[in-house]
Amino acid sequence: MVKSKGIGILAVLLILLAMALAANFTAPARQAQPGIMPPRPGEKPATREQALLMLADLYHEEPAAPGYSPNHSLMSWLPGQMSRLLADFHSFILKPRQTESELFLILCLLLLIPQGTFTLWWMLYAWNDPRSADQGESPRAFREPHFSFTALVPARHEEKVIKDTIYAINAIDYPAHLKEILVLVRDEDDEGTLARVREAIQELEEPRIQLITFKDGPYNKPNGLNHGLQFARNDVVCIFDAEDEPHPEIYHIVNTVMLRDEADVVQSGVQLMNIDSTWFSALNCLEYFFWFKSGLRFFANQLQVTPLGGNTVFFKRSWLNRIGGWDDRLLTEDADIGVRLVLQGARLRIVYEARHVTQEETPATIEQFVRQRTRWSQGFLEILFKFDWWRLALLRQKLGAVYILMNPIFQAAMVVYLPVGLYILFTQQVNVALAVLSYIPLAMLLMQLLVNLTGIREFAAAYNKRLSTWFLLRMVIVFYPYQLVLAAASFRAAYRYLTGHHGWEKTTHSNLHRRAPVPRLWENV
Amino acid sequence: MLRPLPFATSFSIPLAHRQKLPILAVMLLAGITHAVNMLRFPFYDNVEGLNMASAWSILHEGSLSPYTYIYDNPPLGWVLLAVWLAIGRILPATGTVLALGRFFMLLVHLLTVLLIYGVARKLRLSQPFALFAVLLFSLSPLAIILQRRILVENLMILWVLLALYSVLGNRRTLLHYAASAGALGIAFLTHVAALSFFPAIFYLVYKESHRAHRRFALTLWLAIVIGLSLGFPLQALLKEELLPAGVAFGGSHPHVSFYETQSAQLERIPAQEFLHRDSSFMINLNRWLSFDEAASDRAFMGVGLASAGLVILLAMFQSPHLRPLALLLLFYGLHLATLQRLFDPGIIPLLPFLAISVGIVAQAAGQFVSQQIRPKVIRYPLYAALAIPFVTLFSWTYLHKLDLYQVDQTSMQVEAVRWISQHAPADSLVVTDSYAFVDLRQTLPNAHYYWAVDEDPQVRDEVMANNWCNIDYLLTTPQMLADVAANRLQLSLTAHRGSVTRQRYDNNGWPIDIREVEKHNCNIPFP
Repeated sequence: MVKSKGIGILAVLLILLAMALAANFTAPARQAQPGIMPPRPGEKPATREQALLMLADLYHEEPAAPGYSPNHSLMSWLPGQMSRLLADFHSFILKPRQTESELFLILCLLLLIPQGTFTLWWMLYAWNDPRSADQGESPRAFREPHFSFTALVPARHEEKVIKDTIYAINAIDYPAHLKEILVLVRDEDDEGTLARVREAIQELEEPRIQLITFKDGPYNKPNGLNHGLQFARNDVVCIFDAEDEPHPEIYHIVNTVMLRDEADVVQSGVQLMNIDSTWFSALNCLEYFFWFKSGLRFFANQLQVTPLGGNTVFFKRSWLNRIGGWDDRLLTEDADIGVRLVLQGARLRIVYEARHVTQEETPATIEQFVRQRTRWSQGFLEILFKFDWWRLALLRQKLGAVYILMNPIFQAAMVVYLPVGLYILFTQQVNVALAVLSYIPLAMLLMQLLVNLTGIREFAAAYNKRLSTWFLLRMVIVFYPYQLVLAAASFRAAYRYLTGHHGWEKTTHSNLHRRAPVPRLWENV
Repeated sequence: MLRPLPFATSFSIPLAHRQKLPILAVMLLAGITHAVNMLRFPFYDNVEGLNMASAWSILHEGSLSPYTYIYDNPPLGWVLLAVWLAIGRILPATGTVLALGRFFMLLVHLLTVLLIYGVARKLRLSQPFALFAVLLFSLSPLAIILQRRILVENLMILWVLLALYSVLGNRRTLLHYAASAGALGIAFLTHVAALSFFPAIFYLVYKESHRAHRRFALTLWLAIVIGLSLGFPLQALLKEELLPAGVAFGGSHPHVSFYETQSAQLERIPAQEFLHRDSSFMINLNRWLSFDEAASDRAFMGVGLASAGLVILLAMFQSPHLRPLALLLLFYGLHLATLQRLFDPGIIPLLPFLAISVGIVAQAAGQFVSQQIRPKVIRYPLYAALAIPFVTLFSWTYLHKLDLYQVDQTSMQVEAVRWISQHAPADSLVVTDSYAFVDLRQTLPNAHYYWAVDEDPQVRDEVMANNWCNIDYLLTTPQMLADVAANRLQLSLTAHRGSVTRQRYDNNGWPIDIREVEKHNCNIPFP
């Protein structure tokens, strides 16, 4: 709809321009009107007839009435004004600003080089040492089922996907008496979802699947989760989103990790699968790939603070009760709860293996993607200015938390730096050594592109996908536009935060990850 | 048939106390052979003066050269020298700027021998043979002379060895590959000849990286090496000096271009011509293999080249782990052999690998003997019998090269600088050999390097007004006079003719003259 609006406006403008140009050739010569004289140059028309005369004169070179100057015609006035404006603009752009330019470059380098280096480091952390590559993977042998699981499934207007999700969660391979599912739906304007949930419960005839409805509290996910937490009875509470496709062995995996490592929280892998649905989906999928496979492990192991994902995350219920559940004032309750659990001393473990990831889908349109990213970025800002991270014990935890929470802003800065840097390159004189160094952020951006191109091959190998040359080329072409979209979402988030817009902009789901021909690896095991 | 070379105890350098002592002893010996008489032999060379002049210019004038920078070398080596100069200011007085630079070269030498040891161990030489390789390098007169000199090639090979060391061995992580790429990129930004080492180290990264992270290892390594290397042409591009004037990215103002300089420097001869006796390679090779030249080492070069050939054969048929070394030798050897103009410093990067090759062949020979002949009573005398000719050859060669530790070739050079600084008026225009340039500039701001006087339009036309009579003094060396004559550097040549000697320093057969231009000769036309 946005596209068609834009085209429509453009079309109207083009038509007006065409009419204006056509009038130059088709307007009849102005005839002298007896008794009516045009206003003098510089005077405003006093009557309607004078105004019409003036307008007619603007499209003609020859004076049609005595005393009227031909220099006042639009065709000679407009270029003069335009060229004056252009000249002013030109001199403004080219005005020497060496000191300001060098200062800008130095500040950006001081900010962007460490940020770029750090980003590359955590992206590649999982591949750094092959000896420890399997440390973040699923256990090879499972222990006896010990913990019981309550799956919380918040859903809002998810009638397209919720039934499949309930079926998928119910199919998790684990003793029936040790698992339950609580589907959380706000009971006001969501009849479609409610109907589908009831349908699934009826078909499955499973007493341990319950529908929990509520009407109070904010319209957001953490509020739903807190309601569900009140009804949870099992040892471990986990969250699945309404479109998730968890692996059947996920409870065994978490059970084993919690027993083996004495972990209090386990974040398992979430992976977007539809790499070729839209122009941005490949890069979106890769973000998840690097984030869950490498980034979260890095933050947990090296910085000892990590945000958690919003689903396929498993908490011992006692810890959730200790910290009072989720903060329903925030847009990214998952990141917030990770920080608060670390503050309390909980042991967090990250597990990612391609076989066992929960499969999800990317937003279907760019508008939804921007809304999703805005919500995340805004949520990070909310957590940042909540200052819980300030109470973390270690300096590296504090710095790590700040980096994570400000990462969207840093990303936006990197993207904005490029056009400003190009402006300085083409219009300003700066010290040569500084000019050479100023290319480092660009080199880092290119490095990120190369890492993504390598990463998609790793992804394809892990998930049995084939990549065409065109696919890779398209990734190169859309890489910078994708960064611009992320930057736009960050700016939008900052704007919304500063202007007090805290509403939850929901992402709709279409089962793209289920409809897409994605091989389900566990089916071959 | 040779069995595969034995593995070293471990690919990582063992650091037990009993193993540290021999390393420390050899390092000490390497330091002593380098340091004794290093400020007095060899003489301060033209190129050393130019390198320190660039470093001085970076520090004091913020530019890469006191004259027009012609993109002959990437600037990072000079930047390091400039950092050392800045540090040197706070040290007790060490004499001339070049003396300070030679102290830096001592440091570089110690790091180089340490890395030679490390690389040799990682190439599966046992400790005795790795130390033997280090000793060969440290005792070679050719290596000592060249390593004492303030040459960017010495800095370059240090970074290349670091790049190699980072990537060799098992249990490599992506950080190791990134470090290797960084070191190799810096090596290129020190001297473009480092390009010759890219294929061998890339091969290592490809072969040695674990398949779990090979894609990322290769991507990271290539991206960092290429990214860093592009800094050199980027610098030229930003100054619109990448290409000749009038061409895209070449600007419109007349200038020296990156493309023209590098094309000239890397001009090649057809590969089959390098064995021609008049080729630059053969002329230099004969010199390095000679007996009379100071900067020569027949024993080390002869044995080293033969060992290099054997290593290449071993790598092809027997020992795949030696293929990187073989590639290094082949590619760099080809680079040297096909250069249109090869100079002495060109051999520096090859010397460590020749030393390691000798170590490898010696170890292989020892292994072969120990496998074929079991009884120790026969084996040990056989070892001695095999070693004696080599020991004799090396000893005899080195005992004839003791000038390294005794002869003074620089005191007179320093004295000449002191004399002219004290006797010439402060506003004198002095044309000098580049070794004296920086020190003279401290007291005589109008001291100029002889090449610049004739070849740099800014100096020739603006400073000199294209008139040899503006020159007041000349500080000449045989090298300078040879260049002036051979290249018809008109201003310097005419000034030399119109001047008289005020002071002469014999300097052991390498005389330094201070000449004063007689102004009454100004109107006399010289043929």
